[in-house]
Amino acid sequence: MTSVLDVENLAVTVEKNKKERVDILKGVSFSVEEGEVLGIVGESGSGKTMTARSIMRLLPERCTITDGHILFSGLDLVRVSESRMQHLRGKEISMIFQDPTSALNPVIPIGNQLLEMFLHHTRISKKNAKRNIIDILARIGIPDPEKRYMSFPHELSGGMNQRIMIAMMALITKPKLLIADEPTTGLDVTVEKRILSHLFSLMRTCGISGILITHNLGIVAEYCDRVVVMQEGEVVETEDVFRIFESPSHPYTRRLLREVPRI
Amino acid sequence: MLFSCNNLKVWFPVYGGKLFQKKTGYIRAVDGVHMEIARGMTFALAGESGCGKTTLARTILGLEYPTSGTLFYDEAPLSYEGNAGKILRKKIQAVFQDPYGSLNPRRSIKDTVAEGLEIHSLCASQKEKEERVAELLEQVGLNPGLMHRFPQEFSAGQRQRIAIARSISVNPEFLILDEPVSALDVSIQGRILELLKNLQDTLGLTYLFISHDLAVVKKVADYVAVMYLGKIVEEGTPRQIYKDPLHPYTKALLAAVPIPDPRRARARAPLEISDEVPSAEHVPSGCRFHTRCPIRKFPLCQETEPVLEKKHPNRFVACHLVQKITKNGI
Repeated sequence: MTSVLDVENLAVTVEKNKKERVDILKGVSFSVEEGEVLGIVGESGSGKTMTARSIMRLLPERCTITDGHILFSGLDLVRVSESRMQHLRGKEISMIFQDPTSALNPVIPIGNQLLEMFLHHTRISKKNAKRNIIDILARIGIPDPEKRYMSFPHELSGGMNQRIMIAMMALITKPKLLIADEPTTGLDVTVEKRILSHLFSLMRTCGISGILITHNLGIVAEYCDRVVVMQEGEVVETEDVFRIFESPSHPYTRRLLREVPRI
Repeated sequence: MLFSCNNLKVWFPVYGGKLFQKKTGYIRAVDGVHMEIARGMTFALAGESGCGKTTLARTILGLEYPTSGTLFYDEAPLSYEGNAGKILRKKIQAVFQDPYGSLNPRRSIKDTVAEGLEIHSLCASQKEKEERVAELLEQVGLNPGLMHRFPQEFSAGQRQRIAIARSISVNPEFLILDEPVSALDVSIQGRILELLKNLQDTLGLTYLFISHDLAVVKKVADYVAVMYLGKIVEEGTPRQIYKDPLHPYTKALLAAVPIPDPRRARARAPLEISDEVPSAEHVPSGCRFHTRCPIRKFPLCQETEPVLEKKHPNRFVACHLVQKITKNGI
């Protein structure tokens, strides 16, 4: 199998003040194989989101990549120009954020937000694009898609907004790699299950590889192929999903497993 | 009974109309709830967002007025008016979901925790107050030396501990925990739940624990009620609810909880119910769950509303299917 993404020895630091720098990622390495879903787990503050944002080159101000490579289809994302990166973002690599209601623009109807994305990345007439969008909205399980096209994010539930984000990020441009950062945290369990199973079956049919970032190992068990466990900016264990649940080798992984609430 | 309510309804009017605003309907957030909470127990209320759990909690706290129905606290009608109301506010305290929104960012931890002590004049001197705050912080597992710091210097889990310290500062009897761990990481959730349990044992508290996550509920509850669109559809002991759920809605909620075991998780059948909850303004006719129910066999389901019927001691379910099956003795 060939890998879609190779992260090698990635180090990121944040500038606290003029003299002091703090390491937030210390030599993170992992790869994402073609067609697989990789889970990244760890507590808050373990560096999961920073890893994802490094891949997207969307690090907050004062955070810099100091070492390492991020290889994506023959390019080192650490070194490509910003304009090149802008071309890749959304088209080749996409990201779904934790809070969909704040990731969407509150003053633009959701249909128009999808349209903008569509027209930016494809050569298609506005009329056709609109028809495609309504089609996609129906496919991701939004009832009454024609009416919803002109709805604003605040008029829809969190679950609905996350579906819109998924439509935007996964279906319109069909990227090679999709990063989902805690996509269902804060949503109800029923909505969570429906959204995740929808998302991952879409990814399988479209051949999109993915990274799923979560603090809940229960979600990883169901949807991921391999798991990376992170603690304080370091990868402590990388393992096949079946093996990691049967025989976790790192004490931190064992602790995370113990802490998952069960029914 | 420490707390009970009878046929409680909390409706919010909806206004509409082009030129003149007039009442066009009601959002029936809580729509006929009976509840009895005994002293010292943890009563868990589970259900999806929008089912009225929080409105119910706010009504008990006196933040919403009941449209109809009666609430009783300690066998007396619950009222927050006058001097008795002040005493009641001391007895009933709350911890809310969002530890970022529930703490004032401009007040130090000490001021936040001590506010209740001041209002109810529980401390004679500044020194005594400070000692009490230190004791409270220690009780919730925080370093008392941090009391002069501000909320932004704490993590979400620590903030929730501060919120808990504030709620127990006035020696309450009854704590309303509205999704106290939903905003936290799984590993921190466990520690907060443990803290709540320890506090219950040492202080003899009664909890109303509200959550949408049945896996979390299982860890703490003595008694579970499942709520759907403003009504309780099933209640019983955790053992009964988790081992043998009767209502199709409870079954669906349980089926949606992630299982930390790849083999079992992948062998599970896909979720049978749709995730769109009907609006509380237009509650479906008959059984309010029938629009999403995977079984929905009887025409009766669309016509008459099932009543919460006693199945065993302490076991209630509101579903025509279950009631019919047991009547025919199958």
